[in-house]
Amino acid sequence: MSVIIAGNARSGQFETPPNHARIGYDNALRSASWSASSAEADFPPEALGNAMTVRRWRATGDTNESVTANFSSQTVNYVGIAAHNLRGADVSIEVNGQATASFSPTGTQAIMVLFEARTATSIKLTVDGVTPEIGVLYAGNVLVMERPFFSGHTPVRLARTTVTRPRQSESGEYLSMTRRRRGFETSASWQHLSDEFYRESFDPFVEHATTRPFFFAWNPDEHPDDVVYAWTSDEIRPSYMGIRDLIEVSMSMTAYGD
Amino acid sequence: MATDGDYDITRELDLYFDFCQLEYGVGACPAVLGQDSNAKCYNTLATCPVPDSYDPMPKPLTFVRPEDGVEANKIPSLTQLTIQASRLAGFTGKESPLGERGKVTATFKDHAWDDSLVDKYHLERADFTAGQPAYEPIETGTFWPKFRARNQFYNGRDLIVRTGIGDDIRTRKYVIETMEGFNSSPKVIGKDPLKLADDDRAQCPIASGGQLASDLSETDTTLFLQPGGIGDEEYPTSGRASIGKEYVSFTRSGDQITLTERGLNGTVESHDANDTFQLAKVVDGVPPADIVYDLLTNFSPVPASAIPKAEWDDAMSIVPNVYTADIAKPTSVKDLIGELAEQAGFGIAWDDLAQKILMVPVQPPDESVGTITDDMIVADSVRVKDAQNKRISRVWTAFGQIDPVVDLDEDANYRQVAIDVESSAEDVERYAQPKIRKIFSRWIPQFGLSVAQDLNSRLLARFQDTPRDIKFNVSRNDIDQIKLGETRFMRTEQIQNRFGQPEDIIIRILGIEEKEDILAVDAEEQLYIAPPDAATEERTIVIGSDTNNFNLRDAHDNLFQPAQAGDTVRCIVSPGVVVCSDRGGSDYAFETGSFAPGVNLVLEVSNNAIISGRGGSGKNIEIDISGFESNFNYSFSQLDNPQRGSAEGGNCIRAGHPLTIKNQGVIQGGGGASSGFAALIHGSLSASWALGVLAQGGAGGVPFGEGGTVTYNRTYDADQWVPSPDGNVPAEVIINGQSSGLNSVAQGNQTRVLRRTFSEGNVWFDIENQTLSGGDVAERGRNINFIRQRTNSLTSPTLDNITTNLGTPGLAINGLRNITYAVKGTIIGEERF
Repeated sequence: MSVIIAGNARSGQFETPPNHARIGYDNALRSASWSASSAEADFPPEALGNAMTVRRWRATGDTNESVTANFSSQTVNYVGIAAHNLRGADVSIEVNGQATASFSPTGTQAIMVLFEARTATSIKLTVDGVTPEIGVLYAGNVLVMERPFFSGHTPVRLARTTVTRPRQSESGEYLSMTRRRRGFETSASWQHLSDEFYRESFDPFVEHATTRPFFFAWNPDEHPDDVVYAWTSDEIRPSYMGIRDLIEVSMSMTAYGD
Repeated sequence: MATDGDYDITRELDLYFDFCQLEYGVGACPAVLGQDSNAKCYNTLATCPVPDSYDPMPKPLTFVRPEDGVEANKIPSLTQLTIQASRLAGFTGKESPLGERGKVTATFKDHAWDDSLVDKYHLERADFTAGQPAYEPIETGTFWPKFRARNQFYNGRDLIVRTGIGDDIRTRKYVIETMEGFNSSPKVIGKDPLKLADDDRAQCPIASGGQLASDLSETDTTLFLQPGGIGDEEYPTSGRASIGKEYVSFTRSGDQITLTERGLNGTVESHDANDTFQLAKVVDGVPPADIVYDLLTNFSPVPASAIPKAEWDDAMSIVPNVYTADIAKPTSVKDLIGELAEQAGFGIAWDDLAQKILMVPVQPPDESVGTITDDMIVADSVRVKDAQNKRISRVWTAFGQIDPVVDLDEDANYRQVAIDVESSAEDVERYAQPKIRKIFSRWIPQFGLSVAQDLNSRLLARFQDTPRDIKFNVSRNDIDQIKLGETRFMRTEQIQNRFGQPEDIIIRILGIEEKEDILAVDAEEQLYIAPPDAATEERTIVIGSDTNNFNLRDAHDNLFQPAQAGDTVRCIVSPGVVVCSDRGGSDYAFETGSFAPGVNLVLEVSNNAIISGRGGSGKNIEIDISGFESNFNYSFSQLDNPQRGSAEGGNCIRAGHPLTIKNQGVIQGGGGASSGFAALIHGSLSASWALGVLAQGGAGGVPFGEGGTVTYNRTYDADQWVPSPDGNVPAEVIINGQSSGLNSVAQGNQTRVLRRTFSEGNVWFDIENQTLSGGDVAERGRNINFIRQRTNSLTSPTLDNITTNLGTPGLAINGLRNITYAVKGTIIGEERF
């Protein structure tokens, strides 16, 4: 499970059905101050504050290692974790010192932890069982899409982009098969979005997505594994559907390949 | 090696840059913020406010392709990685001497960066208040333009490339050559370390900084170098050097140079103050591997760690020759190695996979290594081309360089040219035109005709027929099955014989380029002929031009590795050539020198060739009467000829080691010089003095004995002291002795002096002598013949004279006990046991 729905989340953000996509782009941690129980040289906790997956916090031990971000007060209802090695670890999240979620990742794919919104100034992540190495940590107010979508969508975790090249010899012998590239690429389309939703809620995301990656969970309820840390290089442009003032929009995305 | 399950491509690289290990303003770093700089440095020399304290340590930055997966602290901005493999030079002299440099071009995508890994203080930059404005690194500028501003000293730093499939990752090493395109498509270009031996970075000898402190005449033998102290800094205590067009040998103490021999190249000239005293590099009978090692490690920045010298020695053990050269002026190391590679038959290249410089002789295929077949060759990858530009039908090798100061490619600067022609290849039915390869060898010394001919033969054998250039691909999985420089058998349907069957050919692997899942192989068909086998082949030394004081051991050691028991060293004196001793007396024209027991020496003297001791030179006479006017002082002396030695005939052959002689020419001792004579007579007249002087130099022996010369020093007025002679007979006669030629005997002379003064009565003196001809070959010189010595009525007459020594003949053979005559032929002179 890469979408963790913690505690009483359903009474908050999940007033909207959990089969609607969640997009985690708002990030209170960009300007946070950081501290950690330990850190290797060149792997400081500050590396979690930028969007880069190659810059990472790495602790020196594997027992209850923690990292804490303190930030200006704001509403927080999700934590995103990407580029990590937390498979099999016991992970817990505290928001403002209050235990909020505990889980044990089954893989190294991106994680979104969804919980009841609250006003907060700190997030603490504790890892037990592995020496944690984490590239990206987001926390903020998750974007809940107004409409779900299904038709024609390729679940991103299934949308592998693999380029292979086979070789054979002059005499017809099989020589090799090599994989030259792999990753995930897909697209998402929404229809019947209200003009108000698009302008007030979705457009700030569009603006963010022109410069920074985001967490994307297509259908937390039915496909909790379809979570990626993704980015788009295309312009996201809406169009009116011709039905009242309803809007349709689509976007392509390339995802971090774990 | 990759397995079936490992098939992901990996291509990544490390760029090593220097970063200071210190902390700004802490410990050994004396920098003070706000005083030495307004912001902390970036731990690079270009940004260091206190460079005297800069303490660098190379640190790698790792870059990967985004599609190859991302790991911590590996920057995924590498968009393209092109590896152009280094290529072994061919054997035709038509290619770059050191082969083609391996080249890596890494292309990046520029991007925002938080300055981690490249700025130790990146987390503080946003908080700086003093000096420069605070900034958030990831939101200010982009990676590469910022990086270039902070790191401009990157040349020659390591560039490490890792490529592979699955877990089979191989590492290659290069050095950073340049960077470009920082603001658009950043590129870092690396070359293999042999690039450090390029013309503009490596010269041998190193340009000397010493200059003459004052003018130097043609006869001066001492000079001082400037600036002060340069002698100890740059020059050995003895060696050779060039001054302008003159080549000299010297010894040194401090800045004082003593010229032990001037005009080694036949040019003696005066020089001006401030002329450069250029130290020469002298290579004297050294194996090729040692020469190349010396050139690369002492005259280029190539690190010794890149040279597996023991492997070189092992690989080059099949090359029996050693090489000799005087390199008088700074010369490209690349050119020097290239010349030697062609002439000694080896290739040199950077093996980027093994991370070492390969030295590979042209050699036969290793039978134990499998044939490259179609099972191994990637489909549709074979390309074959006739390399017409490599064909050769004639080879001219000029060797025995005379003057190392002048340009290498002047025909007249060589003692001999070995010319070999494969005329059948030029037949109109075949290639119909000659293709000439001309080699000017500074490395093959005088007497190296056999080495030059061997070089010609090998070149012709390999290239008289047009070889084929062959390119093909194999799977990258075969990376351990094919190696740069090796010689292999190859069989493919793409190269067929006249019956349409796959043709077995021998190829030499000149280059291997890894292109993700394949290896692109560049090869050359090798039509092989082995160099002489040092263990079984005779070593032939040819004296092809006139020479003096030949030492067989010295000549051998300038051309070959040390001879062992069982080796045969054959010395051939070519027809018409004269081998002579340099001086009369104790010199020998031909000496065997000392060889290891069991080495077989053979001397073949060709028809019309001569080995001879030099004829003795007549003694030089010095007469000084400059003090006669004041106190009647005078002096006589006799001296050996300073260049040609004593009046004794020179010796011919000294056999210090068993020697078999096959003589179809002449072996002879030198003739002795004949005596000379000098006389002075004087006496009082009533009002003056009468004085007469007679001097005759002795004649030189055969061959080439020089006549004795007379140095006559008088300073008084000749008219007063030696009045006009009576009749036609002079009172003062000075005659130099005659020199002999190769076969012509120097003749003597008969001379008379007479002084007669009638005003004071019949007062007179009269002296007449006859010197005789110099000794013919192996003959003793002759004594003087006194005809008359008379005086009359002089008051207190004084007659003083000397007769100079005549010379005995030189030996024909010294060491007869070591001689075996296969053909004795004409031997003139004593054969001493």
